[in-house]
Amino acid sequence: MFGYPLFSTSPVRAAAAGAALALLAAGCSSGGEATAGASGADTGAPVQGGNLTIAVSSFQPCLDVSLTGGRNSTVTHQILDTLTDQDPKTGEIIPRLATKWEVNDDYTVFTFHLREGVTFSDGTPLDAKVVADNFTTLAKLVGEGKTDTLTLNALNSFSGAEVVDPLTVTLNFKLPELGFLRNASDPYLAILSAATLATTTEERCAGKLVGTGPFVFDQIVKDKSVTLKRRADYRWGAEGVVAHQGPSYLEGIVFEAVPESGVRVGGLVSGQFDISDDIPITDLPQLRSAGQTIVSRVVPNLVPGMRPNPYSPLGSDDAVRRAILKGTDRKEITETLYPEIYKAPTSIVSSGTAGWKDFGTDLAYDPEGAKKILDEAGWKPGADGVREKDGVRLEPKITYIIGNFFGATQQELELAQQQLARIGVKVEIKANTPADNAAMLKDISKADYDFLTGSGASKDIDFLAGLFKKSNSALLNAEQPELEAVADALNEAATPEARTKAADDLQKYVIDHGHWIPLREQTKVVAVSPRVKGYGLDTYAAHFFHDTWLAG
Amino acid sequence: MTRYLLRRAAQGAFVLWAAFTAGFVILYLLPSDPVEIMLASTGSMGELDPGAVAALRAEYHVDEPFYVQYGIALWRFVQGDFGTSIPQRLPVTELIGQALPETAGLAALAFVIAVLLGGSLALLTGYLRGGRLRRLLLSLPPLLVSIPSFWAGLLLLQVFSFRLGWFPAIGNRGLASLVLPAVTLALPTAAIIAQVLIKSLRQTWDEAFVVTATAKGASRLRILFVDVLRHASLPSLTLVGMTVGNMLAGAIVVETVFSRLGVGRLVEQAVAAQDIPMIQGLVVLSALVFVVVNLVVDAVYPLLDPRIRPSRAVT
Repeated sequence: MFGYPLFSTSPVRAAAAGAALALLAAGCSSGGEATAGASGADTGAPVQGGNLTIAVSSFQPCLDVSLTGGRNSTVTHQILDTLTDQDPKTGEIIPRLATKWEVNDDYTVFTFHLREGVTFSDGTPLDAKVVADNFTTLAKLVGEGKTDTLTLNALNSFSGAEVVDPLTVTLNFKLPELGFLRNASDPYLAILSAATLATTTEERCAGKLVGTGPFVFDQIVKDKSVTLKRRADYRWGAEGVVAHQGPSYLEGIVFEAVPESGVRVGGLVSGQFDISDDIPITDLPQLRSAGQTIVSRVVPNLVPGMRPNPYSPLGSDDAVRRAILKGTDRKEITETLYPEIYKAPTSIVSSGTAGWKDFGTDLAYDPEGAKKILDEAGWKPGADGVREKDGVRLEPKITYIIGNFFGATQQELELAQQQLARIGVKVEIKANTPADNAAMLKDISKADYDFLTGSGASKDIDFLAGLFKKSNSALLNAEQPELEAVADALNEAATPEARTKAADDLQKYVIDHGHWIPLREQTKVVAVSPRVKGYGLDTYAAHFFHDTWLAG
Repeated sequence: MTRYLLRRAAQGAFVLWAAFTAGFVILYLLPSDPVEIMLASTGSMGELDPGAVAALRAEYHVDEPFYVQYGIALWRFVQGDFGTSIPQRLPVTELIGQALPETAGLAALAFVIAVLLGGSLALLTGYLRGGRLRRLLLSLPPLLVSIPSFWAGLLLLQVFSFRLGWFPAIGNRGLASLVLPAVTLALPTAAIIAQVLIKSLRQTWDEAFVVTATAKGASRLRILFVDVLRHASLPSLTLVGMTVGNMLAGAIVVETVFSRLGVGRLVEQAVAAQDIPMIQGLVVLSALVFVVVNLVVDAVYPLLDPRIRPSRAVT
């Protein structure tokens, strides 16, 4: 009865004025819509102080995203800094805690020069030693299987760290890591204090985290609320990301878990919250007419879509996959269910993901092309219009996870079902609980489904290699040599040029053969009270509060 | 009387064990294992690390055969230890201990509201002899009981929080934040109490002793409160045991709508995550609540009705 879409994310709309906002807004162009007037513009000079209350749908079970949660960080973002950052406009990697860096020709040795004068909130200084310890500790946790998949992917070839001088640290890898500078801007590689590194993973999950970020934890009530207060001595925001140096304007931020979306909407309109996260698209007109500002941004990821079961007769049939890809009208899905803000996907990764290339024409709705593919492959329409071949009816079973907005939703699949019926494919939609889904993935060779649905966190295209190699649990060692080869090529690319080409090839191959059938882009949608100024979503579509202030 | 209560207590202990075992068996029969759910429930396509899966399995004993798992769990259960919540990584008893006071406070206030509301509704209809008002009042219980508390909660929020601003919309923030959830939770219970009490009041009015009282010239109000109510309240008292259980179930919805932390939210989270140790703990907790409430009800019966007093040797 209550499915809470827990996450969301995407293109920001933004204010024409404040510099940060302007930057963020420009970043939005990647997602598409850059509506003017987000929380922003300029009613005078920023006001210091005040507490902002934000209603979120839930907190992740573990507050340390390097252990679980990866990039789905609601609060941890605010208290930690990373070595690098990403330019909101260009996506380029820019300095943050590291002011500059050198990389060897093989992309196996990274030397970071740290910013001087940075301190953790417990007063200890940021130096090469603590950065080196961060990576060796995290690598050890990776070895023990205690970290998030993203952390594992980033550090699986890490071989050690060396302190060169008090502000210079070298990280060594066994394999070329072309994506590492970008990974180093991800919250799961944020730098923690020496004291934090000495704590247990349980304590870290519970929020015993000390970082160098603009805010610190004040109070944590598990699953209920998290209160942050600002650091008065913060003055190392990443140039090009922050609009002002020095401490944040807000005195504190209160995150409240409000699982029911209707309450998040009503509470915002009635002034009980300043910002409400994870807003259903159906509530947008009401919020706008009540004078609230909508901020949105495309989430960088493998977009929500369908993945064939390589062990099922239909999922392993190239013609069937290609026909389903062409016979799905993504534009109709987006325009019907998400009449604004959302855009139809143009590749298997969202337009906000580094390495994305526009394959919009390959993903265009082409029912005639789809019919032709099926005709040629011997799938002939039967008496009731449903195609069949050798006595097998073209009735793929497609699963989705109930209440999970990360994957495809029931409504999206129902639309696809109608669209595919027009080309003679009769889709059977199966609802799974998370438990059913886990059971199904235990052994997909015995599982009764042809396509499953989901999405994948991935700010950088690198992540795709692991998703399409046969070692992935959703492929379970199925022999698909061509797919394996294009995935390997991305993994092994040793130069930026080779990597770009490999990434393009992988996207193209996966789309051409329907190994991932995109349905929509995922967009984070946040509603903001008019009194909130200078708020935006960063390149990961996460809240960015450093420049936020409360008017009047 | 003591023996009567001891026997009841022994029966209660059996109920607890049975609830524990039934819960364990049903959870064991589920096809998936909680460790994989914990690692895969986000629907993210990331890879699971087999080493991590194996280590967690061993930690939670899910790799052992059924009887070993049951044995371990039962031994801990006897000691009052329900193990560690799988996604939360904290002892189940600690998590329940934190949540219980919030839900207990909510349920207690809801119970008081339900008794007052249901009781006055029934008494008012019992006092009135007929007319439009009485018919209107009589139609209220079926109406209240059919309103989903999810909807009732949102409606109350809409009016009293979002529009009028009298109460906060969310949270565990003292009495003000307790009012709307307690009313929401009380509505269906009040309706049931009213329904049953109305019926037994009506039947009691026809009893001979009421006729006698009337003949003696007692006022209708006096008869209602002094003679009829005490006699008619027994069926409602029986209901109390059940309504307390309903409150626990209702708390799942109400705590979600009102963003409150409590046992209901724990249930919701535990079921979604298939957090077996937590579900076990909650099953036993609900059984315990039922047992205790019914013991109390059993102890109260004889006070209201001499006929139910446990047989002591009649001399």
